[in-house]
Amino acid sequence: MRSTNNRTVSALKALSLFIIVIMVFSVVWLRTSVTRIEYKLSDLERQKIEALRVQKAMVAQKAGLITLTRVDRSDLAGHGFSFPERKKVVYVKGIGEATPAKVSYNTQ
Amino acid sequence: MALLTVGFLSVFYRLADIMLIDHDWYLQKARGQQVRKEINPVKRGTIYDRRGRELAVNLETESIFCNPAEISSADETARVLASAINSDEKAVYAKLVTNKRFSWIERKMETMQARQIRDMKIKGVGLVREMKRIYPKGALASHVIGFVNLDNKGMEGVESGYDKYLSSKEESKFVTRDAKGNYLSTGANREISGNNVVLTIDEGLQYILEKNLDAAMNKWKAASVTAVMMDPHTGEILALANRPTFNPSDLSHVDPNEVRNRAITDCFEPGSTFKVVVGIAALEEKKVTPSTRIDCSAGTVEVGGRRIKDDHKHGVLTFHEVIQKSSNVGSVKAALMLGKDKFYEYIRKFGFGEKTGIDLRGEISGLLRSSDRWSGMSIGAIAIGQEIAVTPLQIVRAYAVVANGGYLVTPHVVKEIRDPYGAVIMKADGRGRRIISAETVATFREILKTVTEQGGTAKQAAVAGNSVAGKTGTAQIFDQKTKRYSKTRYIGSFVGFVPADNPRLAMVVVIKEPRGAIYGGVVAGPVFKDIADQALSYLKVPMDNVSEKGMVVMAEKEGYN
Repeated sequence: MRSTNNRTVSALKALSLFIIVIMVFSVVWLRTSVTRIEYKLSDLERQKIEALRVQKAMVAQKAGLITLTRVDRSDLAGHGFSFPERKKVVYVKGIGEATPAKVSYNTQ
Repeated sequence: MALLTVGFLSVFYRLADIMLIDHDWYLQKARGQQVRKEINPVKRGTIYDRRGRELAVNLETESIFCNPAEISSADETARVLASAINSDEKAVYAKLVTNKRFSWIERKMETMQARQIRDMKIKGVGLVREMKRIYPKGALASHVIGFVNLDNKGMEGVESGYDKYLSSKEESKFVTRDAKGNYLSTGANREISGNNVVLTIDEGLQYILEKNLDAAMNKWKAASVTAVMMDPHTGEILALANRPTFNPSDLSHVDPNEVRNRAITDCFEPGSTFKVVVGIAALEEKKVTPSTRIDCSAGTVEVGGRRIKDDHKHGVLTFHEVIQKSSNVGSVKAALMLGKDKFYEYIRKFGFGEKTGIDLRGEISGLLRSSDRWSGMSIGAIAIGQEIAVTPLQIVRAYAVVANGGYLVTPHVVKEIRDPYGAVIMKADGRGRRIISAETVATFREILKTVTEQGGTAKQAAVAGNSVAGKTGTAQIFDQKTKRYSKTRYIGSFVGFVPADNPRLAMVVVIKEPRGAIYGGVVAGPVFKDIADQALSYLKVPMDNVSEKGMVVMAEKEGYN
């Protein structure tokens, strides 16, 4: 009876030790995982910052490219592009929201 | 075995010392090395035109700084840095040897330069992200937009007036780094942004206005040119420009004279354009009707001992013709019918002598003496736009009253403010208060329409296809040295609105000291006409006579957006 108890205690001790070791390793594994995620996040943030930087540069570049000053002074004027002039405008009567617009020069 | 036990015990003691006994000291030491406080750069809000085109945006740049105490060799560091940033070596050296613990070396550099310097890994030299304000349209609308200083603080224009909306409070964050300097994220990394501002300015109209001002400036070799275009119904400023001007992206050689927004900071004697006040007051008070005959045949009238003359004798004119032909004699006689107190009351009703309330800094109220301080000749002088000084904005606002049916509006350049997520947090309301009856302004509008027709003083301001209502002004500049009106220096102006019967635009063009001609109808009238013609095309406003031409009309949805 006594030897049975001793064996049980020994087994429990071994199990406890095993659980403690597993727990320690789990904590270490968990901590390294968190650190790894932090590195990944940091890398993604760096990419995001870089992407935002590029976005800001592109927005500025786009806004600069489509200025009317630039368009007016470019060669576009010689290639069929011109600013609206009322003498060339055909006024269109829109009938309703969805129906096609009608154009006519006829005097009614 | 004993040795092994001692070894284990030593390690155990050391660990206990680090983790328990001196834990706080080591923790502090580690944090000092691993944790760093960083400031998130604030992205200033974007400024848009009324159609959503960017007028002021941000670029992310990097600035280089140093801690002089950590610099090992100032000579060598200065040489390397000066070469990398294309700067003067002595200037860089001076920044490296100061007694301060922090010194800027170069602000807002381009990314390539910054990378080059980062790769050098110079001890005591660091880089920090900073936002740089960019104005992609160059000088366009610069007097409205304004500019910021190196620290992104608004200095002029909307940048200054709406600085508290455009900027945001800086936020700092703590970041953890490992031994190699790699960052470990805390997950909190947001971009701090100010609110976005939407202007009432339309880039297209602004461009049309500025292009024509440049042409006028060249043609008349003028000292300055100013024009303001306004929606007469809402007070929204659609375009505003001055010449000379400046580029807010390049302020290195800017003259303060170029930065001044003359449309609100400079006043001038309006001359005949001011006859709108006496004309409307006389009609509103029923002192005259358009057909009332006024004897101008003498070509002169004496007021308070001063003789006020017409350019040439007109004979007997109807009140309508007095305004159409801009007779000084007729206008003075109309003012005398009103009396000085009533006349003064109407001047104030039109908002002269006080700021218009535009949302730009630096506006002046002009010059207007109260009627009890008028001399005997003042009523005559003021009736023809002398002894009073107004800003271009004040005069266009007065004509907007005629255009919109009798309401005095509050001019403004900001349409709305949106938070970084797009929600509207402020919306401008320029609705005015009625100051003149609808009948009177309708009558006066018909009179103003004839100014640009045969027999008027501003035929050159007529726009093909649409009637223009307006008035010319030619004023001598008062010479402070001689205390007399100059006989060589003039201000020519034209102010009006178009289309006269359904006004979409009210506009003033002021040309100071033109050479070769002086009359407002000659120098400013054609500029008004060119701008109005192109602006109406841009806005797709049909000609008044399209039906007569056999075209089927029209119409697009009203409004600009």
